[in-house]
Amino acid sequence: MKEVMIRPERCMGCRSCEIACAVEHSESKDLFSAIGESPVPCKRIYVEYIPDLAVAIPITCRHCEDAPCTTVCPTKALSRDEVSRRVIHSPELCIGCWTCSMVCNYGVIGRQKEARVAMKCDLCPDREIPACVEACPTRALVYAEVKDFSGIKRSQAALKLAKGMQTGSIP
Amino acid sequence: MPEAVYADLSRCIACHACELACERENESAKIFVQVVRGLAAVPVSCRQCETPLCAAVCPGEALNYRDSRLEYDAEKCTGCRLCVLACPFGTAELRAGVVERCDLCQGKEIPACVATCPSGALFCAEAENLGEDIRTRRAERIKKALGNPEPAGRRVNR
Amino acid sequence: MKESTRTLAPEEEKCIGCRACTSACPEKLITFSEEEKLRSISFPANCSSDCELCALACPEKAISFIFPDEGEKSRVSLESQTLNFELVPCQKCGTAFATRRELEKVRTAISEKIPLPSTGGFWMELCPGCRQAAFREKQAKTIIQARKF
Repeated sequence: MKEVMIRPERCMGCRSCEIACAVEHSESKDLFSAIGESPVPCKRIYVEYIPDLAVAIPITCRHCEDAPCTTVCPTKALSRDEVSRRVIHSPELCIGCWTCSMVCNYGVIGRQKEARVAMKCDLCPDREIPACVEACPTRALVYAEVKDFSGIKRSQAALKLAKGMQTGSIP
Repeated sequence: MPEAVYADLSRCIACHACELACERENESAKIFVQVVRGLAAVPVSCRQCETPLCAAVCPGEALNYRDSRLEYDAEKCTGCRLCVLACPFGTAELRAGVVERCDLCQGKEIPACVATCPSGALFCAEAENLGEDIRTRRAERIKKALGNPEPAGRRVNR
Repeated sequence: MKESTRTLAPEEEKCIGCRACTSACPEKLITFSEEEKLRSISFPANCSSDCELCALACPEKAISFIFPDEGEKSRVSLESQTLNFELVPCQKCGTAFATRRELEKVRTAISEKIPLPSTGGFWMELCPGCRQAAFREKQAKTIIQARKF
């Protein structure tokens, strides 16, 4: 299952992903119309700025394999889809008890103001690539399976080591 | 704005101070703490659901969801206990003809349990903002993990 | 002074066995007992009050009053009546905690807000105590998991 993997060192805090997410989850799918919509479309990806370290980190739903949110939900509004393996939220089953939000380690469960139910990343089921990934200008967000993402990191690490060996900085 | 008492489960030490404070403030305790399998302590109280099933089932209109808050009118309560049967969390009780559930210590600035909790596990929050604290903490952790590695043999405590 | 003795006529088909009437009656004329898996609610043959508190408390509007002169004409018996209800046991601890009709009424009301599956490991099959325990267990699992991070 492909997930939104994050390379926080590339994040420059532009929040294009947040805007793209909100627009994707609007009726009109257009930025200027979306602003005027009611209910106002909300983002499900969050860019957290840490003042002490002067960095921005994007945080998204991890679609955990043993998700705490699905464990505690009393009505099964949050559940794991058997086919896509995603953690999905069904608003018609949600009673707004917010236990999911309380136990989520990443704090990525938000609240729809008017409907008074939870909302979270759905990996854009109507798109090939999630809106946030496509919008990111620095490719800090990568849509890949864990093994492929790790594979990229391994290649990069190996390359660094190899270069180090070449220049003799690693004996 | 809808508010409720939430728990940072990593901090609960099962001291039961919240139960005692609640009992002192109200007639009986509306928060219940227990240790699960000797591994974790969890306080449970009314979740202040935004779609309250207890109010949905009340035949006498004693429980009413109004202005983002659940209101209880004891005068209209018939003691039918249907609300107790509706609650998915088992946090409502009928005692002496009155439904007992956490109402955030109505009229007080801060709920008794939150004020008393010695480990800071209990806090009052609006559902909207719940995720924010958690996100900030997690973001800091990730950044630290990606920073220069600590020398071997030393654990970083966070 | 007009004698206001009357008989309480609970409708067996409507009564869900919630026993709200037993708390509502100021004279404690309606009583109930619970034994093992049976709840019995007893309505008196005579009631000389003139309040309607039991009828008002009833969520199903199942209680009406028969006055002596009407009684002779109607087919309703003017004797005391006991309604019996089988209590449903909690799927976890086995304690009998509610009548079938009480649970039905709750299910119907909840279904107007959110769809409920008809069976299967849901909170409606547990007594409130076990529901609280189950909720606690679920949260405990998440924190035990999280501590490993």
